[in-house]
Amino acid sequence: MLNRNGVPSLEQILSRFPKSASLTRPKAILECYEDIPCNPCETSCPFDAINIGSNINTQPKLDVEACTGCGICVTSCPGLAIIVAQIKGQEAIFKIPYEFIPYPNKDEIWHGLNRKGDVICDAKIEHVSLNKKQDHTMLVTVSVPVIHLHEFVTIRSKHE
Amino acid sequence: MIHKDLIIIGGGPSGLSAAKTALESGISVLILERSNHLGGQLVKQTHKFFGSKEQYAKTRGYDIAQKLLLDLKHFENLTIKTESTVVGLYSDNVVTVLSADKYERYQAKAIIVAAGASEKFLAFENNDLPGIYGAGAIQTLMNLYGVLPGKEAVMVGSGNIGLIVSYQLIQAGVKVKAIIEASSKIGGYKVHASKIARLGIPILTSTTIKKAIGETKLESIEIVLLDENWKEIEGTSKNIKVDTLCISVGLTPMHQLISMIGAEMKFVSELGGFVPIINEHHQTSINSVFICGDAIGIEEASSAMMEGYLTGLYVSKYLKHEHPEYEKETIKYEKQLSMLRDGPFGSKTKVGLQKLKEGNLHVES
Amino acid sequence: MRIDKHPILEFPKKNEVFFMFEGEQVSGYEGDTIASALHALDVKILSYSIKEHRPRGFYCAIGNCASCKMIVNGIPNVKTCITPLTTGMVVERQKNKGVIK
Repeated sequence: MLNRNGVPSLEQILSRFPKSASLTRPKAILECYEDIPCNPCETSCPFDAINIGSNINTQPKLDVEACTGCGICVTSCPGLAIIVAQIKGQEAIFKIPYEFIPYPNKDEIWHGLNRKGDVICDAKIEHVSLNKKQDHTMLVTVSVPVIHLHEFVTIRSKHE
Repeated sequence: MIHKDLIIIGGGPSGLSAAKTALESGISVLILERSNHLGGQLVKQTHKFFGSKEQYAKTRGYDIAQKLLLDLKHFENLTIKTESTVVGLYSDNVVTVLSADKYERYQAKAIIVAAGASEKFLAFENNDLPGIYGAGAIQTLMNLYGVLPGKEAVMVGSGNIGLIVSYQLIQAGVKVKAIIEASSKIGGYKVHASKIARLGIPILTSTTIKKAIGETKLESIEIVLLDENWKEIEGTSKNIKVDTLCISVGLTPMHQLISMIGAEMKFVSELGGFVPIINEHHQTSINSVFICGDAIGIEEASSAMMEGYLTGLYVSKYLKHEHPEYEKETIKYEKQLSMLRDGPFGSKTKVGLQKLKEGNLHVES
Repeated sequence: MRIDKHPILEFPKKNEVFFMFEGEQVSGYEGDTIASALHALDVKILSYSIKEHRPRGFYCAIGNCASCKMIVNGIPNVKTCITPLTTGMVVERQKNKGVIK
């Protein structure tokens, strides 16, 4: 339960996922489930795809059509609460924020974790990006089996 | 004795913000800061901040500190003294300062107390063992001095500071075994909690620390479950082996100087402790003494900055040296402050400020 | 122990600062406080409580709690967590109340 252990329910997670038909293109999943005064996702989006409005305590809403899955919101969110998801055949491709070292590198295989921190699958690192605008938040593109579309959220190195 | 228009006690986010609007009004300002750096707690905050653009949202704390300092760069009427601890505040607007083993006195026409807050402590057996730290201290050690606090840690407290510092411990390479929280719910933003949960770190609610164990330093802790009445549930004790324990159980306003000068005070738990009674211009019962930031109520740095800008403006009016855009700027910052407090997390502060108003008094300028 | 690499911060190599601790020569780095330098050397006990002589260590790092008071260059009650480290400092643990000479 989110209030007790920081883990959202499946219902909460699904409420932020656009229908699977829309996920042929990458789309942002805004996992901001609480009213807090914050709006950099809205102001960072170059496509005006995120709406919060004048009361910045409002939870953000995604304009699915306008979203291109660029991932700028992923590295702008101070709560690291946004990921980008896409379905590509048998795989789900995600763009996630990552702020630990050692950094992942392209083609490596890492552990794929769910929101409780359990290892659920292998995650293949497809791409990494770390530019000045991201301000030390790396954007990692990973692919996992599509069956984990609603479970996967982050990665952990296989070397401890 | 040195005379200024305005002395600001504290060079953290609220003090620096107050200096900006005061200086824009043409007032001469002296900032007195006890540590050797300006920016207060911001300098060790490595996470990106919330709020809106005006509060530097998505900017890391240490960069916000730089921006606040940059804002003050071109003012000529500004004197800053660091490593200068204010040791006394007197009713004739005299401030006494200990600086490099010298005892100095300053006098001003107005004073802003922006002294911030200090960390609360927790009573449990052996809570004085080396290896037990305030969460702020852990941040200072890691992020300012690059020193590792230990190898394995437990965090006590799941408010924003507890959640954020736990994340920062992991970034520094420390293993965090658990976050324990006495209440049945997580205290801070759920996005912070989710960041922690996805790393596999358990957040144990309704749990408290019973005792710390170790000879000359911390070696393990005993935790226990609490029932709905905050009483220990027998037989639920568990030991966790750790060398680092962080206590993050809240902050309390630094009220000492304001108490010393004899301002009317009130204990308001929603604001964190003892605070002076203020009017809507952040003026205490001592006409010339104003207050802003965590010293008037524990909130976030974003609120501290807005309060700082406003108090600088209010002082400009008090000193009859009104800011050239007083109306416009006051409305702007009051609106932002109100918005920051509009969500569920702001309601506690609003209740606290209301309680403060109820012990109100009218102050003449 | 010092942090070598960090995902957000950089800790560039700084000049070593040599000082004496309990009769031994040790070192810290420029920018350290006395307490942070000692902590990096894994010195966890900074002082002892006055009545029961219980070991005390680094707690608040901001000069509020007085857990870190040590004798520095012969002067007692120095809050080492907010005192910058300088070359040649002589630092000792304080076992009782400070004495004004």
